Amino acid sequence: MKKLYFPVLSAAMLAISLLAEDPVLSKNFVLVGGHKLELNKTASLCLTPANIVVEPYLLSTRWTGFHSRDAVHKMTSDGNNGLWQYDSTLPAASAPVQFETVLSCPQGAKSVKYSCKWKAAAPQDIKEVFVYIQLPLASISGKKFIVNGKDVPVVSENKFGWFTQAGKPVTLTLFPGDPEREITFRSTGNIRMSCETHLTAQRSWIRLYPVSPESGIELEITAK
Amino acid sequence: MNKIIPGLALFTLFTVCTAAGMELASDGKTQYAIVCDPGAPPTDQFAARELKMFLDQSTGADFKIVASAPDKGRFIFLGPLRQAKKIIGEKRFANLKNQEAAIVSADDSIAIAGQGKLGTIYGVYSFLENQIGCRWLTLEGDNIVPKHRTLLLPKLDYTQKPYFDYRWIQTIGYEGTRTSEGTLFLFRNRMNLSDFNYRPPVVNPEPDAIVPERVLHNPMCHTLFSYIPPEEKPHWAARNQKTGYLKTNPEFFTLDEKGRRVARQLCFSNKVLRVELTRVFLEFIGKKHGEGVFALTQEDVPKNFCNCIPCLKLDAKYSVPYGGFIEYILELSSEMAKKYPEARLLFSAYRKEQTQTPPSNLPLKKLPDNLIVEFCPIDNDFSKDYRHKNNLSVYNDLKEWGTLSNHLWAYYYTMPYGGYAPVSTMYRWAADTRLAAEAGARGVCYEHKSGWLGINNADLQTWILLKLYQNPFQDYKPLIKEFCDYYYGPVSNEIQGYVAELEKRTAEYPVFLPWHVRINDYLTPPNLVRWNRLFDSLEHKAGKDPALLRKIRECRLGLDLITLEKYLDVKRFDPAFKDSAADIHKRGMATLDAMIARRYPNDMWPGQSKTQHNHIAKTLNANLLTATVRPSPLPEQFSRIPESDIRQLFPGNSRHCTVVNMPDAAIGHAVYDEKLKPDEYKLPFPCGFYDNENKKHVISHNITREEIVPDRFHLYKIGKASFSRECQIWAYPSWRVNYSCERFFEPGRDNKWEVWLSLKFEGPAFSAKNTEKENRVWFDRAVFVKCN
Repeated sequence: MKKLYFPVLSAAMLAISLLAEDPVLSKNFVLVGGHKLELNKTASLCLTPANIVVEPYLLSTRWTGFHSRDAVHKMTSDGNNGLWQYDSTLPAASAPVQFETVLSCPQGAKSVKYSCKWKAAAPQDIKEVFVYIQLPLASISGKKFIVNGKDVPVVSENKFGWFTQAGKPVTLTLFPGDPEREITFRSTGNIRMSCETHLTAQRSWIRLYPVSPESGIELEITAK
Repeated sequence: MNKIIPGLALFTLFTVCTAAGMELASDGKTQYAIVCDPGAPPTDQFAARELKMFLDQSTGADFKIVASAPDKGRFIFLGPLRQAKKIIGEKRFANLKNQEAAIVSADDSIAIAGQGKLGTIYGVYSFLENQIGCRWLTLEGDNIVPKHRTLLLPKLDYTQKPYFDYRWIQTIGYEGTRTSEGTLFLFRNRMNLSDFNYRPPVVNPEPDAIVPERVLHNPMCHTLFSYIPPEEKPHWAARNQKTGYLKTNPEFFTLDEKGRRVARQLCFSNKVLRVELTRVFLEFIGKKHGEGVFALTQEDVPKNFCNCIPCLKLDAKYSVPYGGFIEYILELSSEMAKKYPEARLLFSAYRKEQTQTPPSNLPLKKLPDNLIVEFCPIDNDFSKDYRHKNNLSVYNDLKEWGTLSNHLWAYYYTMPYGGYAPVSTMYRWAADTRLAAEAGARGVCYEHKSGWLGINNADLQTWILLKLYQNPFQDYKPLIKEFCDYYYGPVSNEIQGYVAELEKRTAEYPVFLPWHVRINDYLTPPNLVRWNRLFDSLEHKAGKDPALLRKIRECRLGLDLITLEKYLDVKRFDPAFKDSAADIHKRGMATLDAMIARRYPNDMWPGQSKTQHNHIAKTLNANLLTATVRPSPLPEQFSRIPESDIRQLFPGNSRHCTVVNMPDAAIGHAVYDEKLKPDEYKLPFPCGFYDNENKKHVISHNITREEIVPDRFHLYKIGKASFSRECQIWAYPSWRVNYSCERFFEPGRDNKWEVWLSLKFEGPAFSAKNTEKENRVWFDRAVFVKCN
């Protein structure tokens, strides 16, 4: 029986990968299913037109988002080969910290990789880091997403932590079943998860915390 | 460089002088007649009249126009007459290109004949310029016609053709044909794209003869919504009776970053939109008899065209952010070629983030012949030419378009749009015109909007531009001398020196100059004082010559505006400075009135002249206020600070704010964010100082409830900042209350200044006592105190 698993599993995986639409590479962005993925000027990953933002946030002396006015971002890119990289400098307690955000999708790749990691920082300056996925309530309210095969209905009222999960690899699918919008984020490391909704901002946030802040986060992004 | 020689050759090929020349006239008499076939096209007949008029004026003789003549004798044969062809040579004449003319003499006769509807008359103008020395310098009829007691010509044998095939200059209002002299000026200087008759009340003294090579139909830029209007109200340049497409067909429009359909551009992956746009576009071409140039160019709104997935796939396919648009343009040009082979489609390569960069992976190696690519370098550094590192990538795009298209036109912005302060960029556009020619441009369309009014030597620039259109490889500096010697006469040298200094200082601008920024670096009190003294001496020299005085004052108007703006600094630097602020204002207004009266005679085109007048008059009035205002005294804490260490800024009318009279405000008026509703006010109240030049939020301050002193103007210290070449103070979350501070920037000095904003918080959101008034935060002044 065991001998059958591998071929069956391989066939299933192949079938899934054939079903999935390959990313389309352009000079400035990657198309993944019905989403345009692009790093913006503050090193955040924007998914257009769903208006989803994926952005690192870190705690040193204070919480600092990458859109902070004190942050300095320098982009290097090789769009023709599907590589965009931001080196960001952000204020911290002892010295500014260096952080790297990379979006990569080499020609022929089946998925897009998004990674955020420290380049240089004094250990005392790395208190906590997470990547949040910011979703407009208008497009996600009343829907669900899937975390590691489990349905999670979106809570559309002011609430912190309406879904949490302890540290383990995460496979998160947004807009499941929507042929144009379904998109999946897979972490390569152990991740803690926490979700919240703010009605004033009309947004929900999915926070993804690496279990070890110093290791950063890597996400693999695929469409249906 | 290799293109320079043939370029020059087109103009002065084989001019040969012999000792035994032809005597055309002497002592007011001539034995020559101009031969022109009465059945010749109107433009050739007009060429004969032009030739006669200027020859008569120059020599005092009466050159008759005759219908026919024998083969030999003293004649000037005009147009493709048998005799003219014989003198030029049948084969040589047949090989002339469109708009090209040959000017050839044999025995005692001269032949001037060219190809196309404009070739012969361009030959005549070339003859008048080269042989007689005529010049047509301004829109107001400043013409040089040298007097020749004896007009002796050498043997002639040359051809001439304007280097660029299509030439157009955009003065204010998109054309310069509001007066008879204006029309003649542009036509004699070979502008050939304007429809010289297209919109009343134009004045074309020869409507059948003064015609363009092609008509560039209105609207000429940002035209998508002329054909597919999103709003229900009629578009300002509607070419479609149907309106309100955004309501009926939202899918025709941009899908924005938030997933909404908005009236930014059109969604060109939508097949139904393509069909509708083609229908409307072709219908308009049909109304114009299928002839001319028709522009289909994007709206003047930043960001990419559309974020819908089919559009993005097309973007990826062609590696540009306008994949759907270029695909549609090719589709439309193909339809046009079938239905209207004489019509041309114009596409703008405009904005780096939109269509500036050529596409990859096109299905053809060369763009179709009925498609014109108009390259518009709006994202250039406006103080440097294409060769500078800041502009090199833009120039590379231009060159790439040149390899892709045989019909590349260079659009251009001659001046930065930062107001009327003295600036001169001839060195830049002269170089860029040559570089555009080397990149393969065949047409030139320059936006020279200040050209109409004449401020800052705009007339000089207009004429030089038109000369460079004909030969982009010539040195522009002798043209400055030629113009100034005639136009400014006894003060020519001084004006040339002033222009040369402005050229040098503009070229030295040390940082990237975007299109909308005014150069402040050299507008320092010492320079303003020095230049004012120069102009005082020039006015004195002009003495009782009112025409010369008028020209000097037009040239001075930019300086007057800036002197008034910086009047307090000027007086601080030179307490003996002669003119009062009121004197400068009065002189400026008088110059402005005279300019308007001269350029819009008999109250013609009142809407446009009023707009022009108001724009400059408003600036003069605002600057007078800045120069003469006596604000209410600053609080006690500022009393020990020397006046020289304090700068004050008072808000005026702006895009978002209209001043409201308030007796307790520093100068009697204040502003607020008119769009913020009373129930939307929140605390803390944000304000700050932004350095646009270095893209830095220098001050981001929040005024808290504890700090607020309600119901009266109170100065709030918000931080410290240094002025830069482009900087502003702002208040309100929207930043709608914002005012530029670059006038206080002093190059080479990096002083820090304390920044104080004077604000008045009213209404229940800020004071429990005051419930009668609506929530509102008034701003009446900013105070900057130099840090020691």
